[in-house]
Amino acid sequence: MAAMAATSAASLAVSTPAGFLSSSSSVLDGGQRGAGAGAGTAVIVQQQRRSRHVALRAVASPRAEFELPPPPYELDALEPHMSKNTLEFHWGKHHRAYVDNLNKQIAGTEEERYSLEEVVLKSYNNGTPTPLFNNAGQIWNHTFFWESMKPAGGGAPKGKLLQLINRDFGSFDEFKTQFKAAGATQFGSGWAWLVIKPSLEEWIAQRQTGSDEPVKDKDGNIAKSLAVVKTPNAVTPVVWGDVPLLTMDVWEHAYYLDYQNRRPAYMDVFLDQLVNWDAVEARLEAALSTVNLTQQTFTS
Amino acid sequence: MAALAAAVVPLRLAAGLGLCSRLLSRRGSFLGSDVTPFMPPTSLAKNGSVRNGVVPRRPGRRVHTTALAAAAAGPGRETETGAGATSSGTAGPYKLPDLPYDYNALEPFIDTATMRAHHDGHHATYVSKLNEAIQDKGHLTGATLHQLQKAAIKSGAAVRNNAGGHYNHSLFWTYMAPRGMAAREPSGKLKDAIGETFGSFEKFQTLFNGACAGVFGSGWVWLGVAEDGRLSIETTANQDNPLMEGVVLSKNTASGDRVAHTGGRSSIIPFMGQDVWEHAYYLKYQNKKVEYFSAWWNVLNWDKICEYYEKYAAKGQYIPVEM
Repeated sequence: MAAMAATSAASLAVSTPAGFLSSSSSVLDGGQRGAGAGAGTAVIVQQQRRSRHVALRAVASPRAEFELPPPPYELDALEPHMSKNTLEFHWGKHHRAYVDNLNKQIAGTEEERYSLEEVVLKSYNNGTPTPLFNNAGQIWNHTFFWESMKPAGGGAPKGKLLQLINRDFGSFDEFKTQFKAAGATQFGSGWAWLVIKPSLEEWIAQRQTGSDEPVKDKDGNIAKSLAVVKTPNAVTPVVWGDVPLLTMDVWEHAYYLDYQNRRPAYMDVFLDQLVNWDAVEARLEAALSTVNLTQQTFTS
Repeated sequence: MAALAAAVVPLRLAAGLGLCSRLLSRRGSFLGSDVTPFMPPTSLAKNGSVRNGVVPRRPGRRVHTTALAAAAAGPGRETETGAGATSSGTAGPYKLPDLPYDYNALEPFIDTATMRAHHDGHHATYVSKLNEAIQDKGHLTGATLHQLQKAAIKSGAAVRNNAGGHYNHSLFWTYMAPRGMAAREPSGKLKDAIGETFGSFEKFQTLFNGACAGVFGSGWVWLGVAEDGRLSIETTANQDNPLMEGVVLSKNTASGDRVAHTGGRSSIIPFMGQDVWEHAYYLKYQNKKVEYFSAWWNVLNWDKICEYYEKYAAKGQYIPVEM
């Protein structure tokens, strides 16, 4: 499997400092085993210095711990829409705690050799999650979230993604309305998502025609594939086979320091100022070119 | 000036509140030399000038005398009711109760900004959305808030979440009081029950804090009476509470098992609860929720909690809240 090969490649890459700097792929390369990415930010340099020590140890023995990859931008880069203060707590404390806690949980178990996606899928356990799931899911979700945003983000998607959004939602505005409704109605803690809901036959058929024309099902109805979904707590739609394209964290810790209880205002700003449509488009391209749609690869 | 304010303000607040004639008469009995009397912070002056050491009441605030008969919320109260709603929210039979104390009364343990957002924002929104949710549910017309809880889960997400939120918060404000204004520990029958079930008040606090820390996501942690009359700590997710038929207790955990330190009961009658939603503490404590759980004990009103236990829970009754 492509993703499995990437996993072992990343593990090897991690063992040399050059592996960090030369990694042109995403922050999450086949399992988050310390393959950092992102342009030279102060945070990355710090990570590299720390990780170099770990990497040198790793040359001698296989690495078994997940690391906390930094966001692909400085912690203050999303100001004023998402404050540095928020990032320092959200990434620096919450996300870090999920990583530390998962590492404690998997120490000495077979999950030490799994990629993060593998831990997520296995620990979901078909709907009765094991103790690993909350931490693994939250690590996955948060990394996906940082990569879903960028400084001077927002605006609108283009190209194939915009075509599919128009096809499956009617318009970009309607997508935004549904996405915000999902975020608003995810009561308590959770996430709102834009996903591909794959029907394998339809996707293969569309790839084979090379066409962007709407795929029709047996009854002649246009087959919809993009959808907005919401998940509670640590759940990620990967567990039921969707391909995530975009996520927005609606746990209160994501927005409370900047917006307090005004979740709708936060969601407006997320869509208008923060969404990294380039990343979403890249994820769509990756999904279109991947046969096995349950192996999500991260791109940034 | 400050000393005068310290002496006069609590008494005036107490007199205004009505429920505190008991507190006034008890001040001599439990305010020992080791208890710091409530000192209103200087930020009270922001609410209006302090004249002659007396802080005037905020105009338009009406205060309910007990938790059980909530006064009507006046118009013009700040609310954040979310996208699409009017600034004063949806009117209806259910009402936002006033806080039994000022927004800054629980400082420094719970900060003023949190009290404002929590009461005027979150709780007000639950009230507004509950009024909206029951508009097309004729069979629920006329139900008191506590009566509404039993069928809340069956009545759909809008009723479940907002009826739960309104009931849970209406009582939450009353579990608390400014430090020094109420008993800091349980007494009487509740003290005995805590000793019997948990060993000591301190051990109970440790277990309760542990349960709070063990909840994953949003929810509440409850102290309640189980079927056999013994006490139990249990948790619920989101705005669920143990009154709701069909509710699952103590499964909203980080570990996948039952929440640590809970009693494993399938039902309890709660008489004290802690809000572990992030909005309850995030502005001041951020991720340091354990610190918040420890600090919270400073502002508990054990007079009121003992009353809830003796008058209702120990007799097998849920605490009534009118509207």
